[in-house]
Amino acid sequence: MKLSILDQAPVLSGKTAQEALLESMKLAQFGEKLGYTRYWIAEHHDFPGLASSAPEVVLGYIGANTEKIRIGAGAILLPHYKPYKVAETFNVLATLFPNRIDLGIGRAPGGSAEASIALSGNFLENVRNMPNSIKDLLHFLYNNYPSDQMFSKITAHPLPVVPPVPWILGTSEKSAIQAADYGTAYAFGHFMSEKDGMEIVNTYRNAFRKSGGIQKPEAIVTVSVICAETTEQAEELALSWFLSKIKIDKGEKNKGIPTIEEARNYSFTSDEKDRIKEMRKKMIIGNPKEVKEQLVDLQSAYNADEMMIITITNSYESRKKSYQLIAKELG
Amino acid sequence: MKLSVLDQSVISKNLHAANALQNTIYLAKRTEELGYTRFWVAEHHNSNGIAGTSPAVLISSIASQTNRIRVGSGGVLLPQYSPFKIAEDFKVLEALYPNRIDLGIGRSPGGSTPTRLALTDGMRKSLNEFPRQVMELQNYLANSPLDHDVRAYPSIETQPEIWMLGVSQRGARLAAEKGTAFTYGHFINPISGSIAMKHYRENFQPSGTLANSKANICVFVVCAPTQEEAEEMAMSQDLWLLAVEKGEDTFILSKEEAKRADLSEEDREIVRKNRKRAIIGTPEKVKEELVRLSENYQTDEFMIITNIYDFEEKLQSYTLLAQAVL
Repeated sequence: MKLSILDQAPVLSGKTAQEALLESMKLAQFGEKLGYTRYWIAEHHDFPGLASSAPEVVLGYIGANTEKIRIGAGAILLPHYKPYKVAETFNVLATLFPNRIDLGIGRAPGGSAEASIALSGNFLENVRNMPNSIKDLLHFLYNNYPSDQMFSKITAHPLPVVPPVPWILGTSEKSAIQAADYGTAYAFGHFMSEKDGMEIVNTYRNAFRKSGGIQKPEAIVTVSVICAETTEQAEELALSWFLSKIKIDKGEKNKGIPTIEEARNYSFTSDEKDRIKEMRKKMIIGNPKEVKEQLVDLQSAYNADEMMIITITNSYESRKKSYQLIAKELG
Repeated sequence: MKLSVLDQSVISKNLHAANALQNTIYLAKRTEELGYTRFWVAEHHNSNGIAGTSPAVLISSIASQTNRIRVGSGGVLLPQYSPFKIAEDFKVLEALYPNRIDLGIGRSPGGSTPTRLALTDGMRKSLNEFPRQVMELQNYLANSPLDHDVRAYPSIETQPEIWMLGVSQRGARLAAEKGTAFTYGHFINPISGSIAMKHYRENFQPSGTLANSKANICVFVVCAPTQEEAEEMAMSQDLWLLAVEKGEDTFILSKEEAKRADLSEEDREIVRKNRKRAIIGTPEKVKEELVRLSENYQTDEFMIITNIYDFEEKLQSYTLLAQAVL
């Protein structure tokens, strides 16, 4: 099974943002050694607990410290930016790191309403205009503006030998249809979707139309996994992760992921227990054998080309361990 | 005297953009060894001979492959962007490379009308917003936003140094008002620099991050063992500047090709004028000229930009200069 990594660059308790970004780089190096196909980093704004507000900048650092693993943004939140600038930025990356760059495109705000205003003004208007933005971005990346359009006069330099590969990221049918219409690869966020993902990915495959990019549909499914040597250890790690989510729901500013001790001693209300049950549904938690079984099932249910794994635990060590165990079991 | 580097990642004719960016990274490593203080990369759009379009991304790659030299933008063209996003970009950089990041900002629109429209997504943005944008940028960097309850993360202890880039008294005035460091672009406008610099010093208002005025001068230099060799190499730069001004192909030509170029009398006049933007010669001569400029401008740091064809000769130019001056 082809496996990849999605990283949100979490700032764990007692750690600085610098340490978080250093750990992101180490995770990419570790993933490369373990044979992971890609390493993607996310974009979040105005979250003290997530250090990656500028994935393209972090990728300049990660690319310089790795050799062959594909690296990318998961995602660049396109409504905030101008397609031309995004194309230039990723062309610089694809020139520095040839044939290694993925450009994931998302339409979420990635932060509060105020953060969106600070970034790009009228976010909803930009979301409405998203189909045009994607079209523009693809023209700049493929360098194929029709000559009757104004932007045919400009080029997103530097032009790499191999352009970055665009991926549309989504959690609903809308994004699947966009990816199919524009003929891009598609990454479905199983870990954050409420929808029937299998149907959505299926729609993408059936509706896919070749147009200047990849030859045939290509789908990644991203899933949240916590894997440990034993089921109990995995459950404990998961419990501290759930507690962190519950605390954020209560409006506590993210102060990292609680310790296992704290999670054990916390008395969850029945509402909170229900919330945990909901969160569990979208996750895979267990020892290597259990995780393998569920990942294989999920991949075949989705008919996915590749599974991308996001893991956040309360220590960078247990996070790396989780990726290591999965790679070993499925390798 | 302190020396720094401004690099535009220019592409020599018949080479690829990838060579230009790899050369930029190599030049940063080498000039760090030679004792240069800063290494800045520029932002240019829609120019086929310039690979440096996105400084923040390139800075990240350069800083990760060097250890000490300060790395920065020269500059980010702020009118095209959201100050919040630029603050985030440079906070990520400062988190990765503490106390090594310079955020040079410029007011230039960065290209033709279609380029500007593409960068601003069809919106016509007024360049008059620049002072407000600078203030917002400073507030986001300092974690004291005025209008919105929003912060630029990641949260870090240190701050990137803000440098205002200017080629006139207007830039100097804004830098003085906002209490930022100031770079004067002698390589763009060699005429009114000493007045701008004087204005900056006399009117400087201390800010939260900078107590005293701090300035440098950016100048073209081509340095070689003999005057003849330097003059010859500089011809590539002459023709490149000419092409940039005329909006033509901006790949750098070889000495041989530059020699063969058929120039009109008008072109020759432009080349002669442009030579005022550069210092060309032996290490002794370049040093002498820099000392003179240093007295004229009352500053002891120079950013050196060298846009010539052969990368070995470019390295040699930076090396000879460092040996003579540092």
